[in-house]
Amino acid sequence: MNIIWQGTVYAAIAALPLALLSLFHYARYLKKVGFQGRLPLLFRACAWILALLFLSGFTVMFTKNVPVRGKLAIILDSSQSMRMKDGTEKERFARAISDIEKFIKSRGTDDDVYIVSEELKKSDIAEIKTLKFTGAKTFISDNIEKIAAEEDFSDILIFTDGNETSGINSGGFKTGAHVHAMTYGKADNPQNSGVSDVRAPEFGIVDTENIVSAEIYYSGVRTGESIGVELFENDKRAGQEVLKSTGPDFTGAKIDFKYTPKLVGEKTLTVKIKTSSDEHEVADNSRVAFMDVISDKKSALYIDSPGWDFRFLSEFLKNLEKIDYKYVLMGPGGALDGKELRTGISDSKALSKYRLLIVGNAADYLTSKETDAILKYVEAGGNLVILGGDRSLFKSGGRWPEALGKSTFQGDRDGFEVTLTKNGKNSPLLNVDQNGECWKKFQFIKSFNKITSLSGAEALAVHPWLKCGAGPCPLIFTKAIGRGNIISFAFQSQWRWRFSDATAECYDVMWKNIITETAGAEKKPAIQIFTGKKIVPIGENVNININVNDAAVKGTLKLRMIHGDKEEIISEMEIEPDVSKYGVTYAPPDEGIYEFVAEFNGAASEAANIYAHLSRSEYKQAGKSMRFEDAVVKNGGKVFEEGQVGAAIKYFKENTEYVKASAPYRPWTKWAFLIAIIFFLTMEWIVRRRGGLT
Amino acid sequence: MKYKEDYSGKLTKRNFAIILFFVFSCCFVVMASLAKGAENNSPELADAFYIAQLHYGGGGDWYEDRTSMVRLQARLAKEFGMVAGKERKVVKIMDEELFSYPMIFMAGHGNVVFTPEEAVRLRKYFDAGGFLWISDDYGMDEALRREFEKVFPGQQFTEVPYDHQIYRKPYYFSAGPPKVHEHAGGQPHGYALYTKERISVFYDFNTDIGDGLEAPDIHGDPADVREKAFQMAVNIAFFALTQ
Repeated sequence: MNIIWQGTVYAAIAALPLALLSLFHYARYLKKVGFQGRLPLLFRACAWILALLFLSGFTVMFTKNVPVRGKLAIILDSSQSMRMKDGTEKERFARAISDIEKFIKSRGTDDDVYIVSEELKKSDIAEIKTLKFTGAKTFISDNIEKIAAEEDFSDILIFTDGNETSGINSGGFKTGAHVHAMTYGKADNPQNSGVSDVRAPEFGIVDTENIVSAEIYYSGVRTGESIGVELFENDKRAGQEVLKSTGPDFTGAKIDFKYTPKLVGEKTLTVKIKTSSDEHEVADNSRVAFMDVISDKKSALYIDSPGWDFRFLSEFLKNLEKIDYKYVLMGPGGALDGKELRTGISDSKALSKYRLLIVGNAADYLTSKETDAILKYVEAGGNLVILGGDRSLFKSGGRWPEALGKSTFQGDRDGFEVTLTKNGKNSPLLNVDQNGECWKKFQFIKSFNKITSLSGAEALAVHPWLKCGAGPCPLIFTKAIGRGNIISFAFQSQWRWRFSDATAECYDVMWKNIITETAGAEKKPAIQIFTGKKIVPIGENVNININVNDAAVKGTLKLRMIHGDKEEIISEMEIEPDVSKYGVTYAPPDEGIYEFVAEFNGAASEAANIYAHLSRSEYKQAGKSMRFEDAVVKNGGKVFEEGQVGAAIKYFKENTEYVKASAPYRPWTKWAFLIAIIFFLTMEWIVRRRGGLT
Repeated sequence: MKYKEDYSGKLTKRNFAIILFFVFSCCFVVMASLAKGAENNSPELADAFYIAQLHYGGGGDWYEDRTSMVRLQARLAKEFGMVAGKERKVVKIMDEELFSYPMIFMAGHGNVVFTPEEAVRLRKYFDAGGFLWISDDYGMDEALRREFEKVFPGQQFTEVPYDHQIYRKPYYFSAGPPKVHEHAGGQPHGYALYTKERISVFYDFNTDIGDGLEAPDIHGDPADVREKAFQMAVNIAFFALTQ
């Protein structure tokens, strides 16, 4: 605390001796007249002291916290929408005026508050009438920046119905002022996120990383909030990313997924917006791309049960560089190993990705659906090697006896030599050495399937003496079935050839020949199908082109369409001689994946897929109130809902900055000071008179 | 004269007995050969799965665990559906038949000795893909380590990690081989010798899985202990059949 002398200090200094002399003489006088007590002297001394202080004009300086207030503009939105009543008795406009009155009353009519809207002159409140009005600029979307610049406002408080305010930039207002808002009316901010595009390479290679790019749009998502985006390979999740919202609405946000396919085949890659409870618009939340995953190796699947044939052949296949080898090991209770691959056995289309299928002594453990699918796989152009045994495909029912002939499993403890036929000696499959020594060295076979009634097959090796009908029993034969081929070993225990030092190399050469002649051979499929586009909007025509590579044959070409649970033939046409190319146009009516398969003379093409999606018109900007709210927040302000006047007042109080400042206190400007002087002089007079003095 | 009379063609009692004997003998021979033919033509006997027991040299009781492999073969037939033999097969290292058995079994208590020729042949067996399971009945360890140095020079038996497939399929063992018999005390161990990256020899030590496979009255092991031994043995065979 400091004391500053601001009045006529020199006069007070001059008056001080006079005052002291006056008091000295007064004291002597009271003593001379024998006045009892000193009260008159005391009162007069107090009066003289106050008078001297009055003359000096002193000021006491205090240090206190002083609020630092910028200029606050209060704006009332007077757009037409403020005339809405929202089911209440009063219009938004009237409710806003009432809130402004409450706000001004509580806050006080300080000189830092300006009223921008002339509409507020209609208010009867005195505090408002005393405030400065700066103009009638009340259409806030156009004028916020201008208003802020006019008086250099630090804060702008807008009373508005935000959801009816148009033209707000999501980037915020272009002003340094903090913009706050009290909003009226019901907010309409439906959250809506969607995927507008997904791009993936048309071809991928197994175990090689690819980038799947997705374009995301969203609206009604507050800045900083997260949007989960997932990538699915068919139905299995293959990736997850999070997108941070940079505003209430955005289009063209890019997300890249790293995707490494593990298996060959056409993959449906779906990018989905993760389900959010806030999202009301769930349509168009996913988009699809297709990738045909291939392998730089030829794929082979071997189905067998535990046994030495499996042990040695499996080891051989594993070590072949150019073979992508997989196996399913079966037992009486189901798959012992390779369970994940078993589901594909019952589907000839799934099997078609294998260039070579080897089925050993395990067919008994397969279902009839699975063994039937294996036969269909061959008919469609697959290569199958059958290894005989008591549980081999020779024992299978269905159409298998027709394909392989009827057979009985037989044993011979002494064994017998596998004898090559003339065709066998010339066959590239069995020609394992120059002079045929290998076949003489191979260990004897001790069990085999004795086949009768086999037709249409070419016997490459036979039993040395046993007759099956007119000729010797076939032990190794090939047979064409449909567009595919079967190589059949009607006996088991080839492992003896591999385990013997003398013939191990012969075994390896024979199997290399088989792999080269089957898995290595490229075949043109009987029927192929292509679509002009892979991704189309709903209702847009897609050209479906079909190539029939066996045009000399007559028949009916059918085009099958599969969409969800719906499956139907959408086109049938008669094949014309020597015409190989056919076309169909189709417009997908609903969203989703459509699979097209062309069928002709028992052969079926690989499926061609398209994905039909909603148009991008589903995207809408975020609700206006959210756009307004976002602009307010980006300007460092706060949004209050109607009825939160108290919260607004509290907010402004709590967010007012204070600085330490000296505040003057001038007692002599107060009436109390003069009254005190008069009081002391009056008391002195009363005491003196009661003491008998004049 | 009497001879002539006898040769006159009359069917005497003596001749009848001779003829009858001859007919019966013929029938017996025919039936025996038919039976043999049937046996030969039986797929089960012709090409069955066997795990042969190794008859090794050095004086050790190689013949221990006499019922183990027959019982294991039956168990494997049940679990994997394979046609398994019902008799015990024994094979020596130098036998031609060794290469008829891709998996062989070795047990006993005492000494083991491989001649240089046997060591070479064993190595050849393993190089071709053969698999040996050793189940130590107690007391073989020192001899085994010494003799297998001849087969795999420079390679020592190494512990098979607990997360190896041999402890995982089809039965799950979290801490290596199960304990069947107390030998030296402490944990059971599963050791291996490798040909390249393939296990050629699996050696169970300080547990005696082989004894656990024997008929219940031989060692009197509790049923649960025998079942664990069978499960481990199935794992070993499954590994040998699929690795």
